[in-house]
Amino acid sequence: MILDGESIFKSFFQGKKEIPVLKGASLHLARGETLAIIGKSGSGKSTLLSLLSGVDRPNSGQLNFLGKNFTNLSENEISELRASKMGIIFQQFFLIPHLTALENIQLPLQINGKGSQLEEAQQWLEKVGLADRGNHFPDQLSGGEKQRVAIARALVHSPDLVLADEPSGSLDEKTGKEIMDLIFQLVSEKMKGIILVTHDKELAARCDRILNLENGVLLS
Amino acid sequence: MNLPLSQSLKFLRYHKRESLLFLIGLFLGLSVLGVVHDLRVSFQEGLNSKSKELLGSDLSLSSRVEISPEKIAKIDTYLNKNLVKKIQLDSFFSMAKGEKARLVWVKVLSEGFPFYGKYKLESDSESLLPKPGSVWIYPELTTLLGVGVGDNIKLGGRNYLIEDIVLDDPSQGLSWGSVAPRVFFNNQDLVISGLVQKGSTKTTTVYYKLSKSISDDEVNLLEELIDDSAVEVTTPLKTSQQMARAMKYLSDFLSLISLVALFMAGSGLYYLFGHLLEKAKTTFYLFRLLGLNRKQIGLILINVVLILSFLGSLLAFAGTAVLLPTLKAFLAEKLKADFPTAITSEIYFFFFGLGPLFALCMTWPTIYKSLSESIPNLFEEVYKRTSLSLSYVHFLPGVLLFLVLSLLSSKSFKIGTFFFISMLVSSSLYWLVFNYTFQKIGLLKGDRLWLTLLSKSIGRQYKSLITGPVTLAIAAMMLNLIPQMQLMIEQELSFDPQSSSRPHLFMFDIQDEQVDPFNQFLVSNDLTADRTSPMIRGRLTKINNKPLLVRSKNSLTREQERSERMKNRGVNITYKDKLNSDEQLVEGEDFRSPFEEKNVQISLEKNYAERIGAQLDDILEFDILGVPISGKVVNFRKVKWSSMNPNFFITFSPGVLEDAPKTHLMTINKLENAKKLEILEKMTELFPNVSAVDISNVVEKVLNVFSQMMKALRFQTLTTLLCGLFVVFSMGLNQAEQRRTETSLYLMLGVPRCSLIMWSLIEASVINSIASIMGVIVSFGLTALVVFFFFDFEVHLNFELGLLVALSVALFSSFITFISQWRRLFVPPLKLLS
Repeated sequence: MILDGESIFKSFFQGKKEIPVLKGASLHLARGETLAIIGKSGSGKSTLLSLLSGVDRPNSGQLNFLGKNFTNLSENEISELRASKMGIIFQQFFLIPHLTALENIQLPLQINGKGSQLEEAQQWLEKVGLADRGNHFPDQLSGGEKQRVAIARALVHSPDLVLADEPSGSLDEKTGKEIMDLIFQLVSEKMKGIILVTHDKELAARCDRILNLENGVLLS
Repeated sequence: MNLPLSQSLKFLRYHKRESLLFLIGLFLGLSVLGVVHDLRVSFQEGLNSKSKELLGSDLSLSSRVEISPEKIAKIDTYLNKNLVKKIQLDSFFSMAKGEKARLVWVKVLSEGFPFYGKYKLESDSESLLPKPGSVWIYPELTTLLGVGVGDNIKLGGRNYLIEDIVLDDPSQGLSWGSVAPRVFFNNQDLVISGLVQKGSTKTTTVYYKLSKSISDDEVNLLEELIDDSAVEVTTPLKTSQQMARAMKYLSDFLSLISLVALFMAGSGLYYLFGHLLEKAKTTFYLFRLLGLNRKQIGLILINVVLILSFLGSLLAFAGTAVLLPTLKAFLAEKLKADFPTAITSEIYFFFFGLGPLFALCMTWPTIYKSLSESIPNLFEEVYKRTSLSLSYVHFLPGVLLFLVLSLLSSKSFKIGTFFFISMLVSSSLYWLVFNYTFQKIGLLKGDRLWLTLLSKSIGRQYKSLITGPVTLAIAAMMLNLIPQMQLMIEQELSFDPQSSSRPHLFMFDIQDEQVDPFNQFLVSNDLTADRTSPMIRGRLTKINNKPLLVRSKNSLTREQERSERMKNRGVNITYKDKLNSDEQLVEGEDFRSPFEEKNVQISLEKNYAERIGAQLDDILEFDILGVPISGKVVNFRKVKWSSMNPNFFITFSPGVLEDAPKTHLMTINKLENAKKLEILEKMTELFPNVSAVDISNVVEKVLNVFSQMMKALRFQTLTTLLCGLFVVFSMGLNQAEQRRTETSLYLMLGVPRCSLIMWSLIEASVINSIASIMGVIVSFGLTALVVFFFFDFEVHLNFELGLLVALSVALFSSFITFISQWRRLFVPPLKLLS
């Protein structure tokens, strides 16, 4: 089991008023499995992702990643775990603007202490079809190209879990489809687990399982 | 290369403009302070390198009262085999008369003295001392006395032939133009000249040539052996340090002004780095999401600052290395001072040590803020950035560094602290006032579009706008402060020949028995003495029966130095029953009769009392020519020294010092110039031992030196303006970047470009005018405080000058802001949108 979440509760305060977002959500992800989480805007998808990535912590409930309970780990331990075992793809790409495409891809390898791994990073550039764009900075790339770089960056260090937040949401239909094909192909090749958050039901249908986030709980 | 370092380099590679501005800011701040520091060190090194020539010997004992043969014998015994040669000589004031008469300082030379150094004479003669019956004189005396080589001048009733002109005097460190130019005199003439009489103002010095130099510890030992506060033991190094004192005062104040420039540049760095981190906020969130911990991100940021500060320091060093030697050569020529023109080795540490430390202190609050923030939820479509308030605690390293540099630069606890507090309070005041004012501007409403946009632009961005106006206000403050002080001090010291408020002639060394004949001489010339004061020489030996601790090894601050000097010298004492018009009782009571030996009352000048550590009711014991006399401190008084009247630190009540050996001081207040010259000539003939100071001449000399110092200070304040403008320019560039979209939208919506330019000019003018006016207003208050606390003068402010400063700073800075917005205002809208 890659991820095991049980009865996750999370709420926020607006002034003195408590606003519950997750009310006992539970989810499990096995190795090599693809899971789609769908839900309307404001249903708590982003909050769930922030918990799954370890950026935020639940108010209550269990969240185990590769057998380790997030709630018992320090900020630095979670950072290390995220660096080595997780890859994240954002809807807004979020590339590091001062790094070239190639350097963005190299970064996770460097963070994990694997050196610059130039060849490995270049191979990933080729895999995402950007072999000739390695020296370009993000502001010199189109939206689709940026997302390809983001995908390569999320997968280059062979993470156990990929969290993808609307990876095709900011792209046109054709580019979006290409990007998703690429993600599914790479994840299946490497036998990784993926959690795909989307409100696109067609896209969700390509995953092994679909969970619907509604009223703060995940329903099959 | 490790990850934090490689990421720092890549970060800098991408943010080229911000990095360049950061470098310029650091370059400006460091170079200004570095140049002053280097000049200070070079000047001291120059003097140190010729310190033996300055003193003329390896060791000297000097005193304004006689040094007893027993004490000299003790020193001789201690030095024993180290002693190669010894000579005792006097130096003293005297009137000299050629065509005209004036006060000179007579320096007696003897066979074989000076032991080191050689006088450069106009004739290129190799003579080591004037022939008996002849003198050498300083060049300016040829004009002042109307004489030349081969003429005679009268000293002490005898004529002396002017044998040569001294072009270079190795015992003089710096030429500011002296009040009493020197005349060199052969020791053989001294006894018959009658120049030195009982109580004459002279300094007796015993010079020693030694086989090897003595250490500071040995000097302390010699001081203990002599056990006399009136005798000063001097080594070559101490002489060079004393010589440098005048220059140190100037360089200390120059350093303080350059500190203002440094910290203005520092506030620019704070702003620029804060802006850069704000811009790159998402990058650092991503770093953390990708697994970098806070420590690693902290290292990236610190590396960025260190790399930039190293490059900034390198730039400052390179600029200084190129320009400084030329500047130093120019100054050495101008000041007729001999100091090395190469840059000093200290500057390496100064730039490469202080530079990074300063940059880190300035950027630390924003680094800390950036590291403390929690990662926002980047999965949100529009994620909310966390915005932490800056903690004031993290400004402490910068504030403490500023305090330490203030104290080190001023070498004075009082001045350093005053400067630090003034800067801190004025900056905080500006910050508060601008915060309030800009918010209020935001509430302005009107029908005109420009007014609405102006009020919204200022009122809604006031927090990000504040750094520029604060630095500009500080620049305006400094630009107004220095000339205001100069004008006030000049006004206080100005000498009106028609006025009788200040003495025109100040006579000293009038013997007891000469008082009546001197008064008769004045009466016969239709004059009267306005004030006559007896003067007794003595030495302070005990306070409350405890011997005065006269020596301490090291003086850290100027106050400690002054306190040591005060304790380590003979004192002049007068006696009278009440205060003069230029004295004011500040603590204690007036003298009370009966005035008799059992009831000796003492009045002390307040600052002198502080320096020697005396309190009211303390019992002070003085040695008056071997007789111990004690008295009780009954009051402290303030003295208006600028009155130039005879005034004393120590005044005794009548009834005890009347019979002590003494001389008298006399002043004449109203005197036409022609009459003054006539009196001086007659006086030199009739009373050859009496000396007279032409006060207008002294004031002119003082004002001349002061004016030169002020010129340097004024020039230095321009550097603060430069730093202020740098901050304004940097802010302008950043705002232009932030407002590109806004500008293009206005253009797309049909607003004419000329209107945009006009709005931009109005906004810059409003902000910069508020800053300049506020800076000038605060400078008026600060001027009054400085003059009141440090000079004790009356406060006269020149409002026209203040207005001129405010207008100039506002105009100039608005122009700079406009230039910084140039690209935003003149680029085609489509390009802006892209």
